[in-house]
Amino acid sequence: MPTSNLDAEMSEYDEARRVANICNACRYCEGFCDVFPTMERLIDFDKSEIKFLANVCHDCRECYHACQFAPPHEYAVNIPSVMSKVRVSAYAASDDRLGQLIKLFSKTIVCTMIYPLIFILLGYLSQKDLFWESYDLASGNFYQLMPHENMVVIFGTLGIAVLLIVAARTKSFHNEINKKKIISTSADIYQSLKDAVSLKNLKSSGQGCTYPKSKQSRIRSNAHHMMACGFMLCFASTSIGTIYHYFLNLEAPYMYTTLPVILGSSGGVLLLLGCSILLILKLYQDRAPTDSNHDRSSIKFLLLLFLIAFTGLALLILRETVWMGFLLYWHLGLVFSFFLVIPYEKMMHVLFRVVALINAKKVTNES
Amino acid sequence: MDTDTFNEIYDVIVVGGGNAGLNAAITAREKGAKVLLVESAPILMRGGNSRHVRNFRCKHDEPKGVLRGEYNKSKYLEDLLSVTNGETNLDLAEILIDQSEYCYEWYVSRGVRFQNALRGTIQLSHSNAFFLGGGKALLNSLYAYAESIGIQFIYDGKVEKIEIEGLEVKSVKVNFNDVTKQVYCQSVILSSGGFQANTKWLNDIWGEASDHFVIRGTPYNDGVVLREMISNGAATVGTEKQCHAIAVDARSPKFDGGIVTRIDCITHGIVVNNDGKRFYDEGEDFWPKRYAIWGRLIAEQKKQSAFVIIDHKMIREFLPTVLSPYASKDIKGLAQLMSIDPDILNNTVSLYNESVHEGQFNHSILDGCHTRGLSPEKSHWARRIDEPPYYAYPLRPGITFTYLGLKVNQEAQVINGENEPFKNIFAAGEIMAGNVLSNGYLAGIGMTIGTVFGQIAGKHAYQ
Repeated sequence: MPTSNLDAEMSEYDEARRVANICNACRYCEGFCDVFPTMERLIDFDKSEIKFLANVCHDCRECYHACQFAPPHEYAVNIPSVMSKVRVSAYAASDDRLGQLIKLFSKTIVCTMIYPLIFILLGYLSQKDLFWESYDLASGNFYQLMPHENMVVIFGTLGIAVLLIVAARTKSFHNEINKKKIISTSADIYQSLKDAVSLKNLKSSGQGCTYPKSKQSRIRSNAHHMMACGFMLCFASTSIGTIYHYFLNLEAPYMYTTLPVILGSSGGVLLLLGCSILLILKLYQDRAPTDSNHDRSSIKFLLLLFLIAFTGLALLILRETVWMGFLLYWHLGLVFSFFLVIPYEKMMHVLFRVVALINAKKVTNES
Repeated sequence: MDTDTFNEIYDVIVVGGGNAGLNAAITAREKGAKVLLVESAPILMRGGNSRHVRNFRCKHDEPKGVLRGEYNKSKYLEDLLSVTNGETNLDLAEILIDQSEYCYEWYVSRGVRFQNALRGTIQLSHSNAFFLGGGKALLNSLYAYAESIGIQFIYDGKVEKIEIEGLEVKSVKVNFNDVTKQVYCQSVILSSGGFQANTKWLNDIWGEASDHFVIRGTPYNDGVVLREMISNGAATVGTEKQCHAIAVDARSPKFDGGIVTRIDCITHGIVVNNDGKRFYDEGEDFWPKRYAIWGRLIAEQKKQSAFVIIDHKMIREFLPTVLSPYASKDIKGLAQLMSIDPDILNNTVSLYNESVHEGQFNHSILDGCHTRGLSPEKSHWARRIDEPPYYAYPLRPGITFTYLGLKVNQEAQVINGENEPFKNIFAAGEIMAGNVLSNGYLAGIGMTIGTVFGQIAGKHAYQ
């Protein structure tokens, strides 16, 4: 591991510790979110505690605008920025070899352009005759272009691998932040899940967060809900498709009125909308409370979801035209990229945050 | 700010954009006045000492919003009289308390948000309403509202002169971008705070000692307007030497360290000066009743410097500090870090330890832990300093605000030496707080004075 990486990592944890010591002596922000009441119960602010706090932080930015010690004050307290910095480094886990390797092969440009191009190229080379054919749904030749077995082998294997890594990483994150090994009560877990799903920490007093600018607004949490619902609907669509295929012997493609298509297309539209809004907000956001590394990771994630939704919907609309082959491989290439970035980037926030929120409940209930 | 800002004639010019100035400006504007607010700080540092506040004290006969229980007029007045030793303008004090009842709703309807009393300040939950996120968040809400109703602002604008003819102001001179401009108005509201950030003024009063003072609040409260009004013949309240000062970490920034620089463990340990000697009873009374005397006590020591010493068993017993204390496994080692003669300090600590009669330590009551035969004694919470590592925080006087202010009447009009009011000059906030709060301090009352008299000034400045 290069030393410079180690230094950089040390410094963001040091900076977070410095700032947390100031916050802990001030406490004015206690009412905004779960970060500060949790922070007040911690003492050492070692690496695991900082990582824990950073994952409770939803980047609502209220504390930045309310802080009398924010830049240009010489204390330069900037919680959203330093917490984002810690979060993105916690997702990336620089001490994880596999993570480093994947990172090397998952730059934004590679994920959004190169892998899809490779998929299209391979698709074309393997099925030259069929690639630019137009398809007739009734004839059932859908899987000729990309045999179902191939798809299962590639994405099934990848999916299981990703699932295993994600599960292992979540477990080790949980062990790391739950230093006192307290067992969670079901009430804690229920409440934390509720807080996570409702984005309680992104709404402060109900008027929404100070994003993209210093005025309270709910646009970010609403757009996030759109995106998350869209994602879940697409996931449900794929799952039901799998059930249709294996248990009901119903093969794709499905008609417009079937469950997989209804769920997938509504999910796709929500994803398109949610991702677009979140991406556009990034153009207008205040830069000061933003960490550029974290932003890059988020942008990659949003771009991929946007493109997956876009190609998925295009595939649905144009599946009976000559574009079907091209769109199918483009879509699959993007899905491949998405699988690749799941375990060491922004996507981990879903699990890390839930784990951190459950732990925060434990810590704050304790005293 | 438009280029025409300086060329217009205003109904009301408000000097100083802290809580009092905003209350005044908003009240006048809501009555229809054309209002200009001149703030001396840049936009990111706007709001004077209001940036550092966290709550305001308000009368309420029953629970409302985040306020618990009741805090009635007689209790409020009793608290005020007890901190000021009965020295207050009773008429103004009653107006303050009566009007404070309506401030909560006033704030809420203008976009200000509140939160429950902060952890560790539960004793204030019956009397004080805490702003969500503290004073800067309050200011952000008020500024946003003020902008939405059409108040005009100048940031980085230094008011240098209040031009008075007879008992009337005609215009003010504002320095902006190194150019002085004259702006005409029907009336002026002065809400520019005290003079504690004017190091030259402090030096005139305190001499070299003032070099060692830490100013806890904004560096923009230079008292220029206050001095200008005094030279215009305004009557004053309080003396130049009076200031609210507490013990802060000596390593704090010269200005603007706010609440986080205070050191809250004096009752937990012993305090020595640069000669390694104790000089005051650290356990005289509860900390909230005594914290405000320690600034003056330290100011009286050589080099305005002192140290509080605690041992390991006390380190988790008080609010955490921004900077770590000096630490050593023995007292002599600690003395070296403090640049104090190790033998003297060792002697002081030994003497103290020998005099301690330890009872059941309990910081929430006046407990039985005390010294016997020591000079000065430590009356409560005295425990032996005998568990290494030992810790020391270096202390300096940290000035919160100065008491010297302008005398006002019940309409917040500034009064001259002959007890006549200046017809169209009003004052609100720290610059006139001394009328009510002649000395001492009551948590959150400074904000209430700013809110109530800001609104009174705003109301009378535009009729």
